[in-house]
Amino acid sequence: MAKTDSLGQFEQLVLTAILALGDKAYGVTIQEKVEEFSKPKSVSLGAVYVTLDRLEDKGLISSWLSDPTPERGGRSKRYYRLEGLGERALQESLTTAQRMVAAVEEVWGALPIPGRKKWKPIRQN
Amino acid sequence: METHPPELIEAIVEKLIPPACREHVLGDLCERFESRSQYVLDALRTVPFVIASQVRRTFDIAVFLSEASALYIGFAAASLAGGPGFLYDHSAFLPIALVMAVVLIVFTLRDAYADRNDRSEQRAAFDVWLALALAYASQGSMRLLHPQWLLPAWLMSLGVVINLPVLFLLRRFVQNNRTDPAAVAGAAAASLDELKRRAVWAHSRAWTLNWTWLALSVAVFYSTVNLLSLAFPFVFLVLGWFGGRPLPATFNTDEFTLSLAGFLVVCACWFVLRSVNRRAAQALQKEIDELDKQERGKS
Repeated sequence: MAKTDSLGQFEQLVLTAILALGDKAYGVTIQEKVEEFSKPKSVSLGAVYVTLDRLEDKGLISSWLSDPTPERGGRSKRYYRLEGLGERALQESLTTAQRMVAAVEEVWGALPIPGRKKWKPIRQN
Repeated sequence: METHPPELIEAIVEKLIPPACREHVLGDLCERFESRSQYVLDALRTVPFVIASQVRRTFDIAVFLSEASALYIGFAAASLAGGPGFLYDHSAFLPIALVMAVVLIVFTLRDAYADRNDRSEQRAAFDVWLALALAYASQGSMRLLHPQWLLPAWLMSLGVVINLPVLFLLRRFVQNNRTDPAAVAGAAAASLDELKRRAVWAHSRAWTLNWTWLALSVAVFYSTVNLLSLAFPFVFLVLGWFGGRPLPATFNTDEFTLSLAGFLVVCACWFVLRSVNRRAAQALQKEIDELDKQERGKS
């Protein structure tokens, strides 16, 4: 399997947002999703565009323009979709993150992931 | 209650956004509209990123260096009218660098805002005229702000006359050989035709850059040739200086520093050149591999 470029944290967030949104992934929804993921940090629309452009240049995602809609002043939406290369890059990032989580949990115990009970770090003396 | 941004504000924002991303960015901003102030703030926070991203996408280091070299060579050639050592004697390097910076910034922004499908002569001519006109205008403001950094009027005019046709031809060449960055990316499963196109493009780009670098090296060599007898080999001069030996009486430190800077620029450009050559070789290799694969498939 060919090697893929390693992703930055924000790139991972944007790719995950595109994956989660499916066929509804365009500028505004991606920005909202990324902001939801990175709470309490706020995310600007401009930063999302820059990352989307970069990911598209790397061939990790592709985009196309929809038909114009009246609620947007008669302007089109640019929809984004994950490409095979993007899926692979995201999988690699997640595998790395899982390894990190496992290593940290071995020392600190279960991490406070949403849905789990309160985090009780185990201190080793 | 307003549901859409005011037309005037939207028209201003529209003009600021590069055409390649204008449609969807304006639509997204319109969709997020809540109030005038929110829209303006949103636009102010978004548009600089969008411009920067478009500049990054359209910026080509090979083209940039070619244009910078052409400008420098043009002005250096023009300065010969004032005598061989004019640039050194009148400390004209900084004024030339400022003029070059203005022209290169205009070209970079024009590339970001241009229609990628417009490969007409008019566009190339307009770009060059606009850049050189703004360079002239910058000289006007320099006269008011910092007269020491002003280029002599005859040098500016002669430099512009020399650079006009050179930059026009260069931009025409670039226009005709440019590929869409989005098309270059994502080479996961490109067709043989696409690989061929990329290989041809990478090859011609590498050639342009190689020749440009050679021209730049020759220009730097000839503008420093009178120093060679004094400062070559450089290491002996420096060792002697550290050992307490005085520098030769005719040795000009400014002149020498500028020559050294020119030499270092040429060296730094070589690294860019090497990576461009490697990329061209890779593009050719990909095409050859694909041809081999197809041949094996047939047999």
